[in-house]
Amino acid sequence: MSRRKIDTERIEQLLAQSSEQDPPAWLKQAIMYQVSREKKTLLQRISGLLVSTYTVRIRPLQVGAVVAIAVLAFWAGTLTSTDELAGGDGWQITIPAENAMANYLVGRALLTADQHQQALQYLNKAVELQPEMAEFVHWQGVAFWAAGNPELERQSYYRSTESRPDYVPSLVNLGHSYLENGSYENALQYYKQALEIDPSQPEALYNSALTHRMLNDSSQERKALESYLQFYRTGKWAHRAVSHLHRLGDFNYRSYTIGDRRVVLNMKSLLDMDGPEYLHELANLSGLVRQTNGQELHLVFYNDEKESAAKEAALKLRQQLLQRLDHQSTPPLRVSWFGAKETVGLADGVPKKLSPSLLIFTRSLDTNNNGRNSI
Amino acid sequence: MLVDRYQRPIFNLMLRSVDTDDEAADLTQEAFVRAYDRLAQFKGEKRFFPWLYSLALNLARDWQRKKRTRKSKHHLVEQEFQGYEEDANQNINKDDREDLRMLERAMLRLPNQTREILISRFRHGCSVKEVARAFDISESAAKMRLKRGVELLRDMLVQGDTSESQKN
Repeated sequence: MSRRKIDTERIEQLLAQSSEQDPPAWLKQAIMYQVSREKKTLLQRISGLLVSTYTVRIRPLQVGAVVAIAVLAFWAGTLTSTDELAGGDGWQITIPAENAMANYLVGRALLTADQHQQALQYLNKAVELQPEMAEFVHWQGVAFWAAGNPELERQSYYRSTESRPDYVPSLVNLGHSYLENGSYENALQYYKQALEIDPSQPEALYNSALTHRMLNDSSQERKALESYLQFYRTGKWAHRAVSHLHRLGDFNYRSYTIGDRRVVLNMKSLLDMDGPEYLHELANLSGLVRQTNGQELHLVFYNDEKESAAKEAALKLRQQLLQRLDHQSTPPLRVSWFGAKETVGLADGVPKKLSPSLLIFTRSLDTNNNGRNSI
Repeated sequence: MLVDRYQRPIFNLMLRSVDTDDEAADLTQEAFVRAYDRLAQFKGEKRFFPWLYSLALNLARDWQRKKRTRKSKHHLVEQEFQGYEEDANQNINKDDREDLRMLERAMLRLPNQTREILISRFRHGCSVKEVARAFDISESAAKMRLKRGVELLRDMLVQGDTSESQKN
């Protein structure tokens, strides 16, 4: 701190001056899009006004138990009263105590309602009645985790995989459990087993990358992140995977804002127009372009060694997109090219120069091209 | 327009409550959608911003509660500290910039609620009454927390005790 006088008045003055980060440029559009989807009919809005002064309290425990009992009623036909589960407000339900499935369902409902200890009682009972059911033993493990007992949690997962070696949820959770306690090699082993059975299991894919990162193995981290992005291109983890790849110096995947959505595309595949992945990526892009209402799509190519190559690629991609889109769903497609490198801003504040590269964005129809080479 | 005017403070509130820019943006969207849904509950005699801020605070609290679920726990290892942006305003003199930088570091060491109370009062100009309503505390409690928060910051700054920043 500077050596000048610091008093409460100065603190208040500094608080008023303190800075804030700018929200992402696409956020306003995204908010407006979400709000427009929420718009209700006049009748719905009037109904909302009528009931807005009343509050209905929903208790998760009660809802969970009611759902479980409804399922039970269907599954078991009738309910015989041998065990009672009491909730607040004087309500109580009965379940068949010697029915493993009933105990399991109630345990799951209680777990959802954050009643971990009670959940454990019912899940333990379910396991006791039917120990060969991998699903019951697995959820007993989840309840142990929720109750803060990782050792017993893992024991349950081991037992569930003993009875069913291909039970992916337990393999994945064993990976999580070892990742959480810092046993990275063990975590990788279980994620690998899960992925051998289900190669698209998202948490095993993503957390494998994370585990490699913890082991300072950036080469394997990169491979794992790319594997994740081969299957998943939407959601925050996809964008996060892209950020991590950029941190590792890998810009094959990029996050773009197209219309109201932030999407992940494989830029390398789109630039390699004779490559095996090009058509697949082109199909992804054309699917997104159809959803850009009232906006024009900009495709900007950069190649610092050969501007003519950037131009050729730009025109070719435009033409191929037009061929794939029917006339009615095609927004204006504008292409630009530069005989220079693209400058990309990164989270660490150090800009990165890319070439060849492709920038994709949308903007409203009334903006001009500022004199760039464009069509 | 309301979104233009308020997206920045709401986004920054979320940024202080979550792990990533993406999550903060998601929650900001949700805050505005929820505000739109509940416009019927907004009483015109109040200022809009404190009402929106209060709603966003609840959303951030809900998110932090849900964060304790299994799914988010898987990724706890990945939580990374995101410092506040350096002030881009070059017109602020060098001493002020240094003071601000130290203040922002100190802010990250405050308990979440204390930090948000100070920000809503001094950065966003909410009255004590509005702060009390937003944080569901009495006016006297709001005054006390504001006073203690400022004193805590002053002590940290005077002692230069702002080195170990940690989020939550």
